[in-house]
Amino acid sequence: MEQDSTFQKAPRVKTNYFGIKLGGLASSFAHNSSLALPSPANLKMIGWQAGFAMDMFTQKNYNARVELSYNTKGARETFSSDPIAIQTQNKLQYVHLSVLPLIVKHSLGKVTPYLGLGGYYARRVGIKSRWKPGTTWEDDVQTAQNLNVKNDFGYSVSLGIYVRKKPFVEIRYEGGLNSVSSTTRIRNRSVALSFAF
Amino acid sequence: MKIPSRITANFWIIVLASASILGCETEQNIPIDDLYRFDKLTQLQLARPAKLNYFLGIDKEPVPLSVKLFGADGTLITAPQEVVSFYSNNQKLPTSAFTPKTVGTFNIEGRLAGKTSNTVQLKVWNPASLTIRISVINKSTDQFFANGADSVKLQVELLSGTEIIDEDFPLVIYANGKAITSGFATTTQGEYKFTATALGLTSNQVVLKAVAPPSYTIVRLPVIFHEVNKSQLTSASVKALTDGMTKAYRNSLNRANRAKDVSATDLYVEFYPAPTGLDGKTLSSPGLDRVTSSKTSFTQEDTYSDSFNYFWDPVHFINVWVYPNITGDYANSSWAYNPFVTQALSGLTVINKSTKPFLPFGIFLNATHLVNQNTDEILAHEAGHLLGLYHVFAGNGSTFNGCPTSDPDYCPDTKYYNREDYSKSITTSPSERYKRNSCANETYEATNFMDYYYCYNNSFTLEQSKRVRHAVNYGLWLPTPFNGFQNARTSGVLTMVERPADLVYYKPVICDKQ
Repeated sequence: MEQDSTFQKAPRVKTNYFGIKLGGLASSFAHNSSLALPSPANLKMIGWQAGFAMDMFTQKNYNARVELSYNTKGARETFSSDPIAIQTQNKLQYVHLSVLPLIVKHSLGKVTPYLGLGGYYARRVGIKSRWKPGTTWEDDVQTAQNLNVKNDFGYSVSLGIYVRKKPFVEIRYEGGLNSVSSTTRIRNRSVALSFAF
Repeated sequence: MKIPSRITANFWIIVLASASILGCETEQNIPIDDLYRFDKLTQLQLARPAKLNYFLGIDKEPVPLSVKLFGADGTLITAPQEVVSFYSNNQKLPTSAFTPKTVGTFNIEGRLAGKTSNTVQLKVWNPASLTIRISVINKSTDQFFANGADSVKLQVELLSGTEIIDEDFPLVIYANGKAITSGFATTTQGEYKFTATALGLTSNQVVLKAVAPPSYTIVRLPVIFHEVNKSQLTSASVKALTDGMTKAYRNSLNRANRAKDVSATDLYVEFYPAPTGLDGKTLSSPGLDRVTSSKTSFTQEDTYSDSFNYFWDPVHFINVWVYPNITGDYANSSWAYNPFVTQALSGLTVINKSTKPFLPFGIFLNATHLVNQNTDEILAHEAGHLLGLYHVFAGNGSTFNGCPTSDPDYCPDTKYYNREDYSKSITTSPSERYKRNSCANETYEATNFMDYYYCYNNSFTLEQSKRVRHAVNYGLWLPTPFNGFQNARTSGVLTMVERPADLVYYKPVICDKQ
């Protein structure tokens, strides 16, 4: 009996990525409606983030992603009017949920760059405020009380690279849409560089 | 169609570069007003500077301005003063200070985070456009006594036209060309010309004469004690009591040996036990008349009526009724009446000289005050009422009237105080009890005989002596020359005062004792 010389390969299963994400971010506050990226000089608050990431609906040129992480945002700013300048530091700690429903990617062989669009929701779990009215830094309980909005949400734009079908490095811009103060319009914005494992 | 990988890579590089370059902001200058600490700022409170009026060419130093910041719930928001912008007549000041450089009125405000403080008005004056005026504030005539205690109090006012500028300013007051303080006393008689200089200006001149202190003719008043239902008094104790009263009125009683009032003076009044009775005969116990009443206990109203049974002619005797077992509101009190006069004096009633006594004009001494008290001081106090003096506070008995708007005893040289406040806060410290805080917020020791406890009871003052002398000269129902009594009996037999048929009750001056 002759065997059929042709055979069909078993269809390849697309596995969704799940792993750990670590990185650092630079953040500041936006005092107006501008969506522009802050200049490196403005991103004075350096923080960090750590959490988990999971890709979903993985296809050749598309997938979605969900992330749950802890991060620190905030701002280092200087307020001035002649003859005085006062430096401030406000560090806000969040539990952060990111959803990127649209990640488009194009394979270049082993490396696949991607562009991701989505949003986030974050719940503030801590705040540390300091100011420098003179020559020394002092705790600023007044400001910590005034920055009284704990819920943050916004949009995010990511550029990254998959390596061998796993996310490797990413740079992400997040812009807050909700003010962190109930009396003044101040929104988070940050740029994060992260690595996934 | 497969896109070449290098084109794809270049694409991403261009995207990243564009995002980082084209989207960059320049660094913002965030104004202080936006500092998050001031998000809930609701009020700025500009402090009143030490002075509101400044004098050009004299006040040259910058006037520091300070503002307090308050949040919504009234909490203080701390911040350096430099965060506040200060404005003078809506012009921003370069610093947190105002410098008097030009004449005018300047409305000062502080501003921060959209909030404006209250306005403080500062004025800068040209001294050359002002005048100063000196006046005497404690004398109604152009004389004062050259006894070293009767002081002239001078006031210097700075005026712009007729407007008084309410501000302290450096000044010098002169008496006959010599610099003095605002209070002046002397023992040298003569004319004194008072002027003042300030801010390069010279005042008007006020002239007063320092004259010899009054020296009155000594008036000697016979006293009869009507002791009701008791035998506590003796001729010796009566003599001791009248001697004590005399010492008080001759400025020589100072049982506590404390400093007297600066105006303490001799009243030239003396007391002695009446030597003879109504019948003109010598009393077995001078000054003592023991009587019996059918009542054994007395309300104040009872004594009022009962005393007419032993009311000796007041033109020849100072009547002192000594009652035991007083009940009711006056159980711990002695009391007396103010005199009625034929010439007006503040606080006294003017009546016709021919008016017969219509009340028991004299002193009612509570018999309990004969024991464990300085009874002579009590009698000196009550005799003071009889001779036209009021308490050195507003009120009597247990009724007090705080700090009145006018002097309650009509004597400018006696300080007065809120007796009710004092009574509520009497300290257990023996030395502190004798201190008073006057209605003019001066602390002093109580020395006047017309005060209540706790008091050193060693002084009558110059102004009080004038009132006593007025009562001596114009008071009815007193054994004085005005009523025909020349320090001795003028007729052999005297009579009692007849109880008026329509006796009306008059409330006396009540004096509680400790």
